[in-house]
Amino acid sequence: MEKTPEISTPEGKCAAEAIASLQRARKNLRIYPKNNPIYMRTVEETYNKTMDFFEFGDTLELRIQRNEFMLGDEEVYNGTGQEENFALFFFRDGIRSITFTSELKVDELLKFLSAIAVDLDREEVEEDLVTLLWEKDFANIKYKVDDSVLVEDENFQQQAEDKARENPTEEGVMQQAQEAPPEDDDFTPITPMPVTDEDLEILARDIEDYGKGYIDKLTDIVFDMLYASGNIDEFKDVVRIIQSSVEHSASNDDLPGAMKIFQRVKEVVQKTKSENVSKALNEVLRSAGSGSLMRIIGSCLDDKDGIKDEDFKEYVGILSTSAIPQMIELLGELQTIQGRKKAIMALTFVGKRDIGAVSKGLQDKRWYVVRNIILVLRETKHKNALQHIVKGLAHEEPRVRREAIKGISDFGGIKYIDRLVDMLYDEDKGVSIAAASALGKLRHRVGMEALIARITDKNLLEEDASLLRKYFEALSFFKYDDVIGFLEDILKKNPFFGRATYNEMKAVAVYCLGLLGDQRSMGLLEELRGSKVKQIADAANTAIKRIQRAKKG
Amino acid sequence: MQKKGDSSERVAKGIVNQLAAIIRTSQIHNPQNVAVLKSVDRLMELLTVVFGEESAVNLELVGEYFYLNESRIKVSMDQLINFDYLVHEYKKLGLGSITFGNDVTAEDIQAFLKAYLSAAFTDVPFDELAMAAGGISSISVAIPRVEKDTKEETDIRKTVKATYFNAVSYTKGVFEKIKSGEKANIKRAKRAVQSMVDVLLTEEELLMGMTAIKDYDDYTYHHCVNVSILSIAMGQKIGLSKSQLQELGMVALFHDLGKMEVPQEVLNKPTSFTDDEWKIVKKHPMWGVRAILNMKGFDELSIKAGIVAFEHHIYRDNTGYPDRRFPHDLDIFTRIVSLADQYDGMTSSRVYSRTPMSPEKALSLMMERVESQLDPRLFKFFVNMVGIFPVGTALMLKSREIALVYGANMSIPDRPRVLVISDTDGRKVQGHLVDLAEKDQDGTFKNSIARTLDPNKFKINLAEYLL
Ligand SMILES: [Fe+2]
Ligand SMILES: [Fe+2]
Repeated sequence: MEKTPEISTPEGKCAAEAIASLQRARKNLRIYPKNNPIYMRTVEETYNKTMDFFEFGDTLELRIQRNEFMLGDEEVYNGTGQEENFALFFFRDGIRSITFTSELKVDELLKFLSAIAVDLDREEVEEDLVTLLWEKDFANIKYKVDDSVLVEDENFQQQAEDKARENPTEEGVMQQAQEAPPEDDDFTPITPMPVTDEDLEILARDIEDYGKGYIDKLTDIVFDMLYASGNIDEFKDVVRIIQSSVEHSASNDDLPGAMKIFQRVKEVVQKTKSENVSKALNEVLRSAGSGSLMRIIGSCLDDKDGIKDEDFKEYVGILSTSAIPQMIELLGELQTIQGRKKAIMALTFVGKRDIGAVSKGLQDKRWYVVRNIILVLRETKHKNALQHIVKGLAHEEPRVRREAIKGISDFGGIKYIDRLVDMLYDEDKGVSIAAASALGKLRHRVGMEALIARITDKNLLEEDASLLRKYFEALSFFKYDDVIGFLEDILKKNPFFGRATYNEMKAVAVYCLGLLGDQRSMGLLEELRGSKVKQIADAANTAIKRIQRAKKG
Repeated sequence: MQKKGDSSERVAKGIVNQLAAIIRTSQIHNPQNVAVLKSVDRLMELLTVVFGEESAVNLELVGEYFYLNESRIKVSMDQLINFDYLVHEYKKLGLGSITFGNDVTAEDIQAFLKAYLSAAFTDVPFDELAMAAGGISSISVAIPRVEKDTKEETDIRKTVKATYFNAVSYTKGVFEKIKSGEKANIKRAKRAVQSMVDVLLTEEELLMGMTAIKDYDDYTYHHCVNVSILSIAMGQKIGLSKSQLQELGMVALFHDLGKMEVPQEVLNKPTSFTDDEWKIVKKHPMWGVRAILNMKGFDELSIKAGIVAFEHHIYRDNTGYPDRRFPHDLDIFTRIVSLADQYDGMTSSRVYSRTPMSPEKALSLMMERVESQLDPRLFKFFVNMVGIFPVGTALMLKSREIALVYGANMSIPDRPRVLVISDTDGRKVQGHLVDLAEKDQDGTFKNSIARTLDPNKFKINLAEYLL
């Protein structure tokens, strides 16, 4: 049941408004980022509302009960049945009153507001409201706290006190003490020791240095513990700590820190004779490729200055092939080109050792992952990679097919030449061009014939003349003697096609002669330079220049 | 005027003296004894003097002082025994005041005495007395009035005690929870430490006093809190900020968390550890690292706490334990905690040694080891903080009274404030506060330390006075 208190006094009303604005601010500061105008306006308004109260006095003291804020004896807020009981929010951690004084500054209030805006119910939050306020050390905001809310065991104090008083000093003890002869003092009582300026300076320096390099220190400690562990369970416990410290380093973007740990683990593995030890530690090394660590690395990779090349290389150096699935996953998640480049480099390095594992990435639903996997397979230059690359030819995404064709070409995959020939007729122009270029680079008779067949395909010029140029470029990879016959046919004989397109074909053939760069074609080219068709004459001119340049160079 | 004041003061002191004598003698003999009757007559004479001016005599105890019709009665040395005796009696009976009407007779006083004696040994002495003396219309009794100042003082003491025991109870909870695989509540640790920091800023003496008491079960938990308190106090002296104090308090609180895995029978063993037991105990620094990191996960605070847990038994000269393959310089927080740990450990019987040492002896031993084991610079601060006679040190004064040190005097280190717990004849008295720096009108010190005593040797229960 909602209960709105009836407030009769003007100061009560004013206090109620201040409370309402505090509660609003708590909400707004959670929703809006600092640079949002609403954020700034909220802080300003809350400050003004709070300051308004000081017309009635120098302090605004709000007593806090479970459901109510009280100003003196007047109830100025009631949270019963409200969606958020603002009084209870303070009450539950033990806060029993809050006092603002008129000297309150806006940045002080802002600190207060940001403390109350923290979502304290999240599990990882290690502060309650009292702690947060305590840490701010306010000058003009005071609060009273009842710590008894913290008491878990109500009887503890009484029991402990009873125990301590259990044996009261007996009558007579004091007389004994008085009568006892002075002890034959086996110790010299201490004398006061003045502190010098130097003492203070040195301590101040120590305090300033405190905490520097604490992760390095912990690493050493943990390895001390590793060497000292008495049994395998203890050992495994320490190994778990090592694991966590790696993750801690990584999550602080301290990859070198994590690397140091891995290196040391490696050292221990190399030295140990115990199978259990190396088994457990190898697990740590394997964890270098764990998903969580990989994600952290990933965010570094996407960040331009996130990771130094040499650090990353070192990291990749310790990755085992078991990390490949996570690396593939990472490859799919990276957002930037530079990030993906580094991941491809890493996957290539590690993937060489297990091509099969890399090839699993070909099943990925994301075409760009598949393409990058093919790229990786190419880069590995591993003899087993080709059989997997070929699978990409059947992929529905042209960019994947293209990558696969390049791969086959890189590997000199004569074995798959028929597949390449098929790709010449791919519906995607890019794929077809890539296939042509691959066939050219393979310099195999089958490829040449396929290219010629494709060029002389009646439909080609109608479909897309721009392809022609690319096919002839591919043809130029073959030996002069093998292709010259075909070229001469085109240039000298009658057209098989319509005139306009035929002239275009001739011009590209001339271009191909240029690319072939053989002196023997100079006569023919000179002749064509005189052609009435400007397109052909220009092409011949360019080709002659090219051949002459090649001769000189 | 002067004369009258003097004489009325003498009368007031006389009343206290006689009343004390009456009660004491009648407890030894009986109310009809001649000595008692003589005292009753003398008391009647004195009361009558007052009745010349006033209609009643009200003798009230407020704090450690008597007030006669609202004016405080000054205590002189020669009457101290009777005063203290009567204070003790009042407190024992739960009495605040006794009022004699001007119609009082010797018979009334004797009847009151009878009622008093029968009530004194019951469970609810004040109620019994009020009832038994109900028929005597000329004499009435009242419970203590809650004076504002004493109430405030009691409240402060209450807060300090609550802060202390809260922290101990919390620490116990952490040990138990972690042991049973539950999650410990770090929010509470922070609150507990913050309270200690706050209390140390305003009530250092009271809280330090709490650390001097050692007679608890499961001392380990108290030890953790004591080390935290001593460390925070040190931190204050060397100028750490509030948040640094909190951090220091936290790492100190958890320095012995590894003891969680040392069997209770070993920890609470009344005799010395065997070699095998030592082997186990010496693992607690490493176990501490593990426990802290498992409890809190990895963050800056847990790592720093882990480092202190690992290092706190390693000495400056690299001796101590555990052995290190990869030695580092000890953190300043480690060095602070080590000092606090050694001191609290040596002065109790349940940490490392089974024979507790008196505080000043512990300090002296630490002094001998300081160059090789501790940080000599920090040790200076430590000594200045706890004083050359630390809280809880038992003393015999030049007056032969036995006293316990209550608070250090920064400017005159050998003149601390003390609680006097016996009279010159060695009779126990309720501790009352005396400042040994106090001087007479002629400028000489009223009292001084004759020598220190070992409270453990004489079985003086510190809790009785400091709690
Ligand atoms: Fe310890
Ligand atoms: Fe300890």
